[in-house]
Amino acid sequence: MGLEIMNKIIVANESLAINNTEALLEINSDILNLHCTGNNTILIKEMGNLTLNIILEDDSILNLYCLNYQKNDNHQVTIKQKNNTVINYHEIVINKTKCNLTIKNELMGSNNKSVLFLRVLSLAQEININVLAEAEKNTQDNLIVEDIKGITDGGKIVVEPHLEIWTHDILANHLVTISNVNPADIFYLMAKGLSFKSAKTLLLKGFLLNALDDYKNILIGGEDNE
Amino acid sequence: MFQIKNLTVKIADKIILNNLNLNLEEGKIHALMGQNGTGKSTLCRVIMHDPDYEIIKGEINYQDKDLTKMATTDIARAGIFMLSQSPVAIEGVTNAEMLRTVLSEKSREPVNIFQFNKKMETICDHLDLPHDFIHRNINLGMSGGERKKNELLHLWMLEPQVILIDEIDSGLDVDALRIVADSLKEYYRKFKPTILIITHHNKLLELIKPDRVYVMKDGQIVATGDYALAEKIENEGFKAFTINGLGNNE
Ligand SMILES: Nc1ncnc2c1ncn2[C@@H]1O[C@H](COP(=O)(O)OP(=O)(O)O)[C@@H](O)[C@H]1O
Ligand SMILES: [Mg+2]
Repeated sequence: MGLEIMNKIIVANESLAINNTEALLEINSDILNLHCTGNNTILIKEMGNLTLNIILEDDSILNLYCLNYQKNDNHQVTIKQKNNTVINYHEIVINKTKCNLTIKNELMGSNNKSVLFLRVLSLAQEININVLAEAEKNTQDNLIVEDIKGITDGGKIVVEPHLEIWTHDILANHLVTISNVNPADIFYLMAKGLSFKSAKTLLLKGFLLNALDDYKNILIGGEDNE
Repeated sequence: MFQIKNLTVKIADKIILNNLNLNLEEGKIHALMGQNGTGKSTLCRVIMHDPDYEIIKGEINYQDKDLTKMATTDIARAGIFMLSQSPVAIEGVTNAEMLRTVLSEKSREPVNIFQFNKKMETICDHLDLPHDFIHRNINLGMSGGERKKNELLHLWMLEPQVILIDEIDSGLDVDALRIVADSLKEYYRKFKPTILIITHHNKLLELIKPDRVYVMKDGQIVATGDYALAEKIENEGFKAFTINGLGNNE
């Protein structure tokens, strides 16, 4: 479904229950407890200093898309998963000021899947990303995939993953790549006649377009026209 | 005239080009041969003023300008084009986007998209590339041969007057080599550019007959000749050449 026909939900309270919901959330509080049942797709445009607590009830799915480019301060997201749940957490951050992000994944039951997909562009200052995962005892068949890519242009990105897993029955993948704008790419583009500035702009834009590619299904059309 | 005078270059505290002198005649085809590691690719990159290399002394003169004092962008805009030995892949930037930006920055006016696309399609056909290459990310997910053809797509769009071709033949199968050589020959017929072809092998030189052949060793030109010199190297290898000019054909 397209963004233009996506429902907008204005949230003034500290809690919201969603069930088979597709919506753009406009959040006007510092804390939000998001309670999920059914199959949901949620978009959040700026998280600012939000503390977001997500609870996925048994058999629920949440596709969450967050885009932060103006008010990226210190948001903190906790994801609690019960049984047979899926979270697809997608976040893009572009910063000009220092910011800290914490994403905490708590696996309370079994047979859950969690994909933590972050694309980070640091234009100045520092972005600190803390990814924490915890699985309780006696849980099994859980899967966590962390997929973090960052590019810096004058800034700095620090990623600190922490896994505290109490069972062996969990599969965790970390894919973290942080790079600077590559001087070899800049040289290549300049040697074709681009100015330094447009070379850099094209490269940064390219990074973000790739990240947005992943959002494309939600933003511009159905998943089946791939 | 494209004139390289007393060029000495180092990288990581190692002298790579050592007082190198080389003249490229306008509108002629020059071959540069030499063993691996003698500094051939370095020479190309230094001509494009790759900031990784430190120019200790010397000049590279072209159209009354010293390229060693110019920025890479301006060298490219002066009509010099390098077809790199291993072109990088650039994720998220398409051929069309890069070329359109280059052309509009150079002419200071927007590119006519219709004409641009039409020209791109014609060149793709000529290089036996599918039209979707126009909007592919630069060299991303392309085979070695496709990358070389993709670079030729850039060449035809940018229409440079000086072309540095660094081992375009490595990794190409016979059919791809023929298409690449035909394309270069056609470009030469049409625009009469000054060409420097770097190669180990005679295959490409058989297809594109060079006017001059240079042999490089340890960062210097050690022999100069005509096409017969390339044939001699094919038969005897590079062993005969030393800095003192042994084996010099002239
Ligand atoms: N970026 C670099 N850092 C260190 N050494 C380099 C670098 N680039 C080239 N060299 C060295 O310079 C020499 C010449 O390399 P190159 O110009 O690639 O030779 P050729 O193209 O003739 O095979 C080699 O010894 C190579 O190892
Ligand atoms: Mg080389």
